[in-house]
Amino acid sequence: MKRFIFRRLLVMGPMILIVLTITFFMVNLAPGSPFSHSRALPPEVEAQLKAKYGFDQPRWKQYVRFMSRIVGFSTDEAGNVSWHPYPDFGESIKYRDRRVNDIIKESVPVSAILGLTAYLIALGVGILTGAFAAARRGTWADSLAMFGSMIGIALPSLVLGPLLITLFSLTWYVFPPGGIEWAVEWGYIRIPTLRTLALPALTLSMIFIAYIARLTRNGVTDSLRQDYIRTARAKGLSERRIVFTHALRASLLPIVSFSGPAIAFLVTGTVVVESIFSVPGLGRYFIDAANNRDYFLILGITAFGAVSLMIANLAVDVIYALVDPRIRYE
Amino acid sequence: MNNAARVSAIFLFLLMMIAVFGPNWVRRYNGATYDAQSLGNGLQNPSRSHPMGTDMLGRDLMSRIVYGSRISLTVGVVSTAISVLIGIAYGAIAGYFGKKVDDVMMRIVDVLYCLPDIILVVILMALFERSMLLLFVALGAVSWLTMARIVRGQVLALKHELYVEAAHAMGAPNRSILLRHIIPNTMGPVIAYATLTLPAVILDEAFLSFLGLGVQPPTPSWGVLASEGAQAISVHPILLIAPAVVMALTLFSLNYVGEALRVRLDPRR
Amino acid sequence: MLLRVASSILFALALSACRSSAADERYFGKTVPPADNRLTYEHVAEPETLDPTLATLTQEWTTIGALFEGLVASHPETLEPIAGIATHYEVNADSTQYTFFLRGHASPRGTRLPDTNSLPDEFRHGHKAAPAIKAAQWSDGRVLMARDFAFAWKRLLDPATASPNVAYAKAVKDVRALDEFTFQVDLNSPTPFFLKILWQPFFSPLREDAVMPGWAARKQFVSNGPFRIREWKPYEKIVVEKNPFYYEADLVGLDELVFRPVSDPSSYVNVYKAGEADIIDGLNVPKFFLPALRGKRDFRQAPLFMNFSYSINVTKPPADNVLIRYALNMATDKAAIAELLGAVPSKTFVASAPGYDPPAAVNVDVNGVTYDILKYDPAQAREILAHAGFPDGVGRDGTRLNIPIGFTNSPLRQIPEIIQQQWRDNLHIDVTPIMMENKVLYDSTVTLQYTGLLESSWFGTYLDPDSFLLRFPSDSLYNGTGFKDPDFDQLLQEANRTLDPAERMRKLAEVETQLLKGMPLIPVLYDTLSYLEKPYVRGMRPTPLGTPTCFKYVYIDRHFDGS
Repeated sequence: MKRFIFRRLLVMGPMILIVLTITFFMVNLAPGSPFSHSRALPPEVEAQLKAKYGFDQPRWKQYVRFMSRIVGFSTDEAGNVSWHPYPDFGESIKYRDRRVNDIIKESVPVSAILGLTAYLIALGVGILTGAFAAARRGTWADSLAMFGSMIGIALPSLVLGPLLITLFSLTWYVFPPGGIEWAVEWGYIRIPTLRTLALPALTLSMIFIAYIARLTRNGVTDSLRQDYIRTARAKGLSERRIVFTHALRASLLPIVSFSGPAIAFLVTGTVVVESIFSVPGLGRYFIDAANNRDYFLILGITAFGAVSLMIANLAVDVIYALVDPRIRYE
Repeated sequence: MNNAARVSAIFLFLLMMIAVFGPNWVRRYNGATYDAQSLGNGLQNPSRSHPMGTDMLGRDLMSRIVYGSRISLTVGVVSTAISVLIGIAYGAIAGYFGKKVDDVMMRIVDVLYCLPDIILVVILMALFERSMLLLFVALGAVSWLTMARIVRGQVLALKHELYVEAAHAMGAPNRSILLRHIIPNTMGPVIAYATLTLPAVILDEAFLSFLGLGVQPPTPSWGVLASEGAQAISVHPILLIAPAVVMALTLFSLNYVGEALRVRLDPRR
Repeated sequence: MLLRVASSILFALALSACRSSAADERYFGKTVPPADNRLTYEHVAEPETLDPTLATLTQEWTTIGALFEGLVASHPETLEPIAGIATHYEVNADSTQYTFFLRGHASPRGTRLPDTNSLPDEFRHGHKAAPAIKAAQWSDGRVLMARDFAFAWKRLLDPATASPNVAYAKAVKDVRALDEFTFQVDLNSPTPFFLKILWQPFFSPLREDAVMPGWAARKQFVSNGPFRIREWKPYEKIVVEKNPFYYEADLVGLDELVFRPVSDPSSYVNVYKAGEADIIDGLNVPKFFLPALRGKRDFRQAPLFMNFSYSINVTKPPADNVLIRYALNMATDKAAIAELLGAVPSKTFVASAPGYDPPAAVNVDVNGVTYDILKYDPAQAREILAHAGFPDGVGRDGTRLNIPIGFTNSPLRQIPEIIQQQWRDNLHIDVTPIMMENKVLYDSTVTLQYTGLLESSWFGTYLDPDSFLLRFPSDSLYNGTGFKDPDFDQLLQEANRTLDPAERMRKLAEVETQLLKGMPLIPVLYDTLSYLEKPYVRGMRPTPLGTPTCFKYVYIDRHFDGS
């Protein structure tokens, strides 16, 4: 097992480099430059700006410079080269004088807390709904429960968000229509108040409720048909105990498998919910960076997303192996 | 097939009829088309001449929803078809030839998974001339990955089946084994998953419209209508509610049917 | 049991709904003043930088306006130059050299700039102006001197700084600090309206020891305006607090001012409605809301000193034919578009500036007939189009004329669709609307790679027609149309040299006529600010320039409803 994990971690490095290479050339291909402005820049000014970020060099040189910074080398003003064990994504072009690493460090906790809260809600509601529906499968309760859980699939965030805002912010002043207030601020760790977190987390959780409810219901239904359940019933266990303790186990693996990429996706920030609710997370930066061709910020966020996804996949595989003794990795 | 799936299938059939013939019916009923503006009649409530009211430029909302259904369904179906084709081909080859080929191909899939698809779509939409064809290709190109994984999983399991080994023994070429035996037996999960990809693609298109990268005006789609409606929700809610309901019903139906198909066509049963 | 829980929840919700519907109907949204002496101002987007030399966006200029003050300030109502850090000034005979006497100067000479004592009571609410002898200070207590202006202006002009604003300062040739409180500017050519351009943030002073790479992104930096920065949380808020060292600190009515960026258009209005913001800058209100907002007492529409038009690439067919451009302009019903969008239709390019009379008509001779090319007349437009070689919209080769229109996802994004309909009805030609991102649009504008029309929002940054006309001289970078006319260049130079203001305005109208004869753009409308402000906010005025200039006069009136 340890060797398996180690090998996967080893492979992660080169994979990230490949992802970054592809992204690097992709964003370079896109038309529009980060320095385009509604008022054209004088040529000398534009030349200065380009030189500052290294855009006056031929593309392969830019690539080499970029890659060397990723693996940890940095050159200061005087030309001295030093090495540090973390990648340096450089300075953001749009947000003058701010380093990409700092931007990511500041906004990831926000997106992560929002995403994790949403996912916890989704897990709670989804599993309960799915299990309930499976226990009552074939009845009205089953159909109703599943129909309700599917609201998230049918109404995307861009519809659901404004709906919830209209109901709970404008008609009944229960929640604010956007923006985050902090309950706890401790360095980079910032925890929003419940009042400001409620609507965005709820909106975000909806689609995951749908998937988790479905996965749960399928898993529980399948396992309820198994023999060991009949044995449990014969032993006289209560239906609730059967469903939640025994049958639910069968759904756990698919849910774990689904959760990995889902959590990675959430941590990297969600554009729609963060825009509508004015959450200062990574998704806001990403969409602005993409629109403004802020190459270094795009690359930084991409790298972060790739790492999150790979770690999430690895975690899922490890949990699988721990839970199911039949699975073995060489 | 359970009741919900049956009802959904009927609904989808009706929707398809509306998408194909609807714009003509509406035009014959009240003369409205999706792009006929009437600047003084904006944001009107439902009436006899405009059963769902008008949008900000005075266009008949019902026409726009009907025409938008056609556009959204077309985008969904074509993009899904593209992603299915690519996914089947890729997954079948990876699963069938196994070992090194499979390893490399799946690593490529892993790498592609990490690429931010919004960037790819933004670049594609900006690089080339904006057209429906480009939209199809762009959406299809970011949706084939999971299909490939599913097909590969299926093929991995199938290639040890007896009839495959028999075909090998008879000296059949790989290509015909793939095409004749293996791929047809993956159809079950493929169809089921395709029916579930379709709503995802429709939602992707809505997302692109939210960013202003979807279909070109004045062409409506559910995404365009929902984005416009979402802004006006506190002043003229029907602009959002009407297309959202149609879109929701369609997505519900596709999910019910897809789920039923998945259960029905599960090769394990 | 579940049913009982559900019904009690519904009951509670219904109850709260009844309570909240008692909110004041005269106003749009909640009207409870904040508990502290603090106001929240809502922006359209997050600032990219707060460095006055580098900042270009509206939200940046607004925030910097609270933090920094330049030589002159703007009168909150008339926008005329009033005393800022400078109290007096002298100008030489041909307007090529200005000498400013800053606060703290023992014996200032020359023209006295109006100060706070001359303001209406609403703005100065009983306070007196600071005496000219009192020196201005930075927010850390150090005295503000002329060399701080010299340093800042030199930094602006230095190519190594790469300031996008440097082209606006092209009038400036050289600057120097004559003594501690005297600052002198040499200009390249006579510029009688020089004072009007000085309010712009990039003319603010900067202290040499306070400016190092990355200074503006720090949480704390020194500034010289009525407020100083307390914290900056990106995408969340910028909090500024009263600057105790400001020369008129007792006049400043607020303890704190919070700037909040909200980019989603409907959230933008909803945040104000829910009472989470007290003032909206009014630049991003979706046009949907206008019918609901009109008639509310906290809503005001103010004209913006800007022009929304479509630039035409005159170097590429088919629009390289000026007759076609005339026909397109005359086939566009700008009044209908403007009315729908709550804006003012524009026949000409330059927005309404004090003292300026735009040309009412531009008459052009086409094949012996005189047409007013500014008029909306579909029949005449069709005639001209026929003369241009496209009778009934069809060209000599039998294909229908097709004009592409490039545009972005802005609140005015529906205009190309409207124009498409109008031109189809009036001229029987086709239009292809092409939505593109901002950066791609800017690129196309600069490189002239596009054919047909391209969206263009031009903001004048000082209240003078020159701030519009400077776009079109042959050596200008901002053109985006390919329009080059030596007659235009010469007329503009002559006009700007004219010392008599009335005569100068008359000449500028001629310059604009010359521009419109070339028709490198189709003017559509002058957009308006849809400005929302809570009834307890006083001393605030939206300005046509889009950035309010008077945060120092703002205060909260807790007795606004007569209580």
